Amino acid sequence: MDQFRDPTFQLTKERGFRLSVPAVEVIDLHHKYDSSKRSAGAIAVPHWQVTKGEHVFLHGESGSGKSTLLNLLSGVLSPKSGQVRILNQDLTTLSNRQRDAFRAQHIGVVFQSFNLIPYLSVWKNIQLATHLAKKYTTSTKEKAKQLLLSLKLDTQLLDKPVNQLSIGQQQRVAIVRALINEPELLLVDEPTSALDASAKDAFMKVLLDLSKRRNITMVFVSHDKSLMHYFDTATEVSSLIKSREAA
Amino acid sequence: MLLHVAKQSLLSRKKTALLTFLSLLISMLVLFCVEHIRLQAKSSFNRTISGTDLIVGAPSGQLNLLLYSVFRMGSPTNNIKYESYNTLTNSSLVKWAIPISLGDSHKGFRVLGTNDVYFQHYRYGDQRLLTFSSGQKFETLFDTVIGSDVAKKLGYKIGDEVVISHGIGHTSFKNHDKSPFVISGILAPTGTPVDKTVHVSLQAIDAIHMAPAQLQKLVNNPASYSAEPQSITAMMLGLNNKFSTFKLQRDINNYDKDRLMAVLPGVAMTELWGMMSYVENVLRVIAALVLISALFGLSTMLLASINERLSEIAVFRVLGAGPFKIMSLIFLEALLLTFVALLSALFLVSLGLATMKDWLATQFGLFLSPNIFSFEVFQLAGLVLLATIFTALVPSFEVYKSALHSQLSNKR
Repeated sequence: MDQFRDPTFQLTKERGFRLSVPAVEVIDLHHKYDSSKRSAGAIAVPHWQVTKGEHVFLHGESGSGKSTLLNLLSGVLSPKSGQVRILNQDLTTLSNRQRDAFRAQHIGVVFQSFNLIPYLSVWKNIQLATHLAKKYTTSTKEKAKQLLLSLKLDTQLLDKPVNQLSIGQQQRVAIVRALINEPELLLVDEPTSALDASAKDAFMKVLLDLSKRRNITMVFVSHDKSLMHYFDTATEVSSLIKSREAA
Repeated sequence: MLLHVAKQSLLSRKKTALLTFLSLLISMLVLFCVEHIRLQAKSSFNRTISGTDLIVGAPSGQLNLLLYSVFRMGSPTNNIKYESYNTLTNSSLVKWAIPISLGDSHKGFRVLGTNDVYFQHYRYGDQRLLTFSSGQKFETLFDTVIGSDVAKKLGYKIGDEVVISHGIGHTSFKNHDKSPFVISGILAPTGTPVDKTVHVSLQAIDAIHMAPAQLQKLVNNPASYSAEPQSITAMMLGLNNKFSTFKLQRDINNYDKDRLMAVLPGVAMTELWGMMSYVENVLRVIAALVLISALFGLSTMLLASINERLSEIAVFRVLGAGPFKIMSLIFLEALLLTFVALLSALFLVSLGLATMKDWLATQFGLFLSPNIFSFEVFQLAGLVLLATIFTALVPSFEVYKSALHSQLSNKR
């Protein structure tokens, strides 16, 4: 447990450089699912924040509420009470449509698998992301090629259908897709669980390298503690969440 | 962009999409065929007779008169005097008058007694006159002119001898086998009842009803017959001035030397078509039901695909697509499929009609124009798209709901 920071300790440390606005700040968050549809129950986060440019490893076993937390951070879910401030913008004050637009423009997301629309080509997947974020320009393709190269992928992949790519390639394309709109925040959820050990290491290296170079804040969620050494900050989900009770 | 996604999405589910497309295509083919044939049947029906201002016959219903004089169906109730024909022919209002004498048949085809005026003035379609594909009109008493269907069905050619029977059955006990009629002309196809008619002269009609001995004498020396017929069944009139139609109709109806009735063909045709309209409505309803079932199939396909597309919906949500946008994607898929099916159906119907036009005309006497783009067809196409929008509401709403509750979850 000692390698995890105590949230209160983190809080005091963060106070040290209050000058910069935190990229992620969660204040007094309470969330509970409406009905018995999903069994995850309720979560409450008194306070948590991530500094700009910081890479946070969020560790939690399945069912610890980390998926719910990610949904709240990305604005897909809206909490029952409290604030979710991303880049100094309180998501809870935005309308559904505004939150969707905010997510498209400022947040990149990479999942465990199924990050891409399988029936579209790699290029169309990337184009779709820029289209929905209203950031598509004539230079998008060039930018996509640059990203592919920096992820050590062949630019010829652009015209291939997604379902012809290996899982490793798909996950890298997912990073390209997540970064194409130049988001300030990257939310990553178990991206390596479908990869073998060597691919895992290569993937983690390019992911962290890219986001460091681009000064992107990253929240990386995983149950796999072996990935922890890639990060400068590690937090236990259970230490963030105050109380959980079954719905 | 969204259109490209919808297209690729459909292409990725080739089998179900293709089957749905085919069921849509077939149902629309049926729909457009029925609609086109209905419209064409109406115009073909209306082209049966043209240029005739009044039909005159013995008093009965106007439909009855129309049916036996124009469509050669049913039986005439009574005859009118030949003198009346002469009177009307000489009237200053009348341009031409075609006498018609009905009541006999040849191997199931109606026999119509008339004179040369018929070939000069009978019009059908767009004021078209009858033309001969071979031979010519009556020269002698027993000359016979047959319609194109008669010639084809019975394999007759110019110079063949035929027997006309009394009555309208296929065979009759009173076969007039002593009257050797000779085919002198075959008419070109018209797509009207004329094709199914055997035309003889008015005198010939009288002749076949003579006593055998008398007839024998006449057959030996046809030129000896000169007497005018006693009566005819009906006549068709063409007037010098259309404005005198109603005056003449009234005069004919009040004529005191014979019991006559004059009807306006257009009015009678409209009444007849009105009676047939329920058949066309039944056809349309059936076609519409077929289409609706195909649209339900489309809806089912989209609905069934939603579960397997939940992860896809999650990706769209992550990229910042709102539930409404995801819903419109499903909507677009439905419309795209229907639209392509619609265009293919219109194309196939046009192509089919263009290639089978001659075959339909010769085999069934169906004169269908390959140009299907009438106002009614466009109206129908609009209705189809509207119906698609309605049926696509169900899966779209379902997608909207699941998109609303969709989460960034890797649990699949």
